[in-house]
Formats: sequence, C-alpha cells, structure tokens
Amino acid sequence: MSHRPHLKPLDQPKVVTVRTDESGEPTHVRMPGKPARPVAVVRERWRIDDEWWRQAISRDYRVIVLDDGKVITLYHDLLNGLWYVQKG
Amino acid sequence: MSQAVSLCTSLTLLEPDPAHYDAAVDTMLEVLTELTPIVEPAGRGRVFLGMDGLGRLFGSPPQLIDRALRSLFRFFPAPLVAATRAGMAAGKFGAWVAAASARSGQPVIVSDDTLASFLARCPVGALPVDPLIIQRLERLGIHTLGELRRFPEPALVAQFGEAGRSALAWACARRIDPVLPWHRPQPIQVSLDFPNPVGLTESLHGALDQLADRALTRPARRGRSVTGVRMGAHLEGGGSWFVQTVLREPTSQRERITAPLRAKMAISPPPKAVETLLLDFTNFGAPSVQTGLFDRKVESGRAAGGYEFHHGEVPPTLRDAVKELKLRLGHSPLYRVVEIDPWSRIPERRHALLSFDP
Repeated sequence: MSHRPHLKPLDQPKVVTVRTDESGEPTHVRMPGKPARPVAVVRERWRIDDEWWRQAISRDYRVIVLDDGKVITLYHDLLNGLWYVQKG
Repeated sequence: MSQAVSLCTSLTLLEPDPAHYDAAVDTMLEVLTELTPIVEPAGRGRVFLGMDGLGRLFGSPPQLIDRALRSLFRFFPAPLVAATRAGMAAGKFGAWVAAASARSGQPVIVSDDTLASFLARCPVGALPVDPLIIQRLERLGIHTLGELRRFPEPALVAQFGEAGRSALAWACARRIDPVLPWHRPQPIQVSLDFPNPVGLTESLHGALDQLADRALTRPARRGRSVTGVRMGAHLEGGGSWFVQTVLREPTSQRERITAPLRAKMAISPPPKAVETLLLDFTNFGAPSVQTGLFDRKVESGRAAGGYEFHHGEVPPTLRDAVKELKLRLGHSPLYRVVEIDPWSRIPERRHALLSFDP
C-alpha cells in the first residue's frame, strides 16, 4: 500500500472565551475546560494585517500574564470577532 | 604585589595551593558524612547538611551543630574550625542566610515559625539569583526581602520571569529547598613525576598524552566514557595548579580528552616549572561506543534520545518499529516537525507535521 507523505498543521490557534472591559482590553480568559482566570499583566502587543490578496488576516496579538503567573499568547481576530490562544 | 612587598618588607607571600584546598574539602565532606549521609557541598568552604531525624541520636539543634563542628577538630586546625560560622533553618536558603548572619562560635538557629520574619530583614543581595536581578531590585528601591514580599507574584514574574517567582517564594519562606545528597564517582587518577622540573609546554603536552593513555587503559575505566577531566601539577618550590573541564561529549578518545585541557593550559599556564603532573578523570558518562569484536548489542532508538535525523540516518530499530506499525495500522502514525516558513509573522505557518515513513 503506497502512502504519500502529507502535512498536518501545527500550533493551530484555539478559540477561548475572553471578557473585556469598556476599552476592549481582556480582563479574564477562560481556556477550554478550565475556569476563567483574571489577566494580571499585558506584556506585549502587536498587530498583523496580512494576505489581503488571498484570505485576509487581521489579528490583534497580546502576550498576557494570568494571575497564576502563566504566560499565554492571545489574539483577537478582527474579522470574526473571536479570541484565540496560540503558541509561538 | 611588588608595591605591597616594598611597603612591608616582612610580608610573607603564600602561594595558592588549590590541590591542597580541594583535598581539605574532600576530607571535610568525608568527616561530615559520618554525622549525616545527606551532605551537599556548595562551593569551597560551604556545605549543607541534612539534619532531619538526627535529633533522637544527637540531641537538640544546638547539640547537632556542636557535634558537627567538633567532628572537624580531628582534622583541621582549631582556629580554623573556631572561625566557622553555622546556621540552621528549614531549607538551604534559610540555613545559608542564618549562617551568613552568625558569628564565629555563635550559630544561628531559626525555627520554622520565625523563618519568614527572620528573612524579612535580609537584604535582597542574599537571594541566589542573577546579580543583574539584584541590581534591578535595588534600583527599584527594593532592598530587603520584606520589601520584596509586598509585590504581587504576577508583577515580579512579568518583570523578572521565573526568577521573580523563585525570589518571592524564597523571601516568603514558601520555597524550602532540601539538601541533596552528594555523590562523587570515584575518580581515576594518574600522575607522572619529572626527574627535573619541566617548564616547556611541549613537554607537558607529551606528558599529558602519556597520562591520558594510562588512564584510559585503567581497568576501572573500562566500558565507561569520560565526561569530566582535571589536570593538575605540583610546582617547583611548592604550590599547585590545576585546570579542569567538562567535555562537550562523552568520549574515550585520547585526543578529545587532551585537546580541551591543552587549550585551558594555553589560557592559564602553570606559573612555575612542574615537578609532578596529574590527570584525573572526574566524571563518567554512558558506556563507551567502542564495541568488542563479538559484541552484537545495537543501540536502541530510546537510547538515542534527541537524535537528529539526517537523510538516510534513521536508526534501524526505529525503522523496524515504523514497519510494524504500518503493518498493524496501514500507515505510519509518526510525524516529525518540519520548517515551512520559519520567518512568517503568522505562527501556524512556520512549522508543520510531516508524516514520518523512512
């Protein structure tokens, strides 16, 4: 049986539930299957707008520190309005 | 040094003798091991002792400390032992701070319920963290562990990373590091006495090669690769010198053992002519890759952990395992990470999983 090598995606973003304040800044993050945790610090922030010629990508990234000290990379998809957590 | 001698003509200069200091440390550790099996050296002149459970044998904490110090009198000069500072507390950090604040002959013993308040007065400089972190703390106006404790953990983690979390845990007496038992593998030592003191580098290199050959053929070394080596010398007129290194890879090849030592010797050569050259194999690694004539043992894939697969270099055992999985499942369920666009701004575009089917 022949088997052609194929690629599987890696570091795919996962949808999370995020509560925000009036200015749209995340205040609480609930990871899948876990309780919501408050955001302690926003360490870094940047924006990506790319591939407008194909399937446009527009994301507002943040590196945040939760109250338990865990550091995660979060982004707000500006096209569909959802929040995602991602590695890398 | 010349200025000092000219200012004080009666000055006595003592040559450093690191071989003697190390021998003294070894003696101290062996003596203390008679008291407790949990002994952890922490640099020249400092040692941690695990004293849990010894109260029934030797008495109260002050009696324990007294017994430890008295055991050293058998081998060391009385003034040296009398000048020793001792401290006792839960965990190595607390004990270290207690000893540092003690006076000679007056050990400091800190109980578990007073440890936090005792540490509050301690300067942040006592923390076992990067000195740059200490500098930053002091520039931020944080000078004692009590002041450090007022900050929330997320803020310290955001500023200093995991070191910030550890610093807070030590400051609050929440982190109790146990004493880890010291195990020193028996070194292999060889030495060579020169009929006349030798100062030429080439001669020392030749002698080093001879010593390495002798050490490698020692029955005690057989089957083990070498990971740590130390070269020392007794010098003309007294004193000693040494260099040591940890090898990048475990090896049993002479050249790979002697080359780093020659490099170290070039940077820090012996200050005087050498009367005796010494070579120690101090640490050992996995069994040597040299196989016997009839040795059929093949290195397993698990033993080759961290193996980087270059084209055509898949271990046979892994190849066999994939073949068996394909027979059972119809395809190879293994994948490996490959770079697709490592510089992409979009993280999920940088790497992917490629099915692994050698």
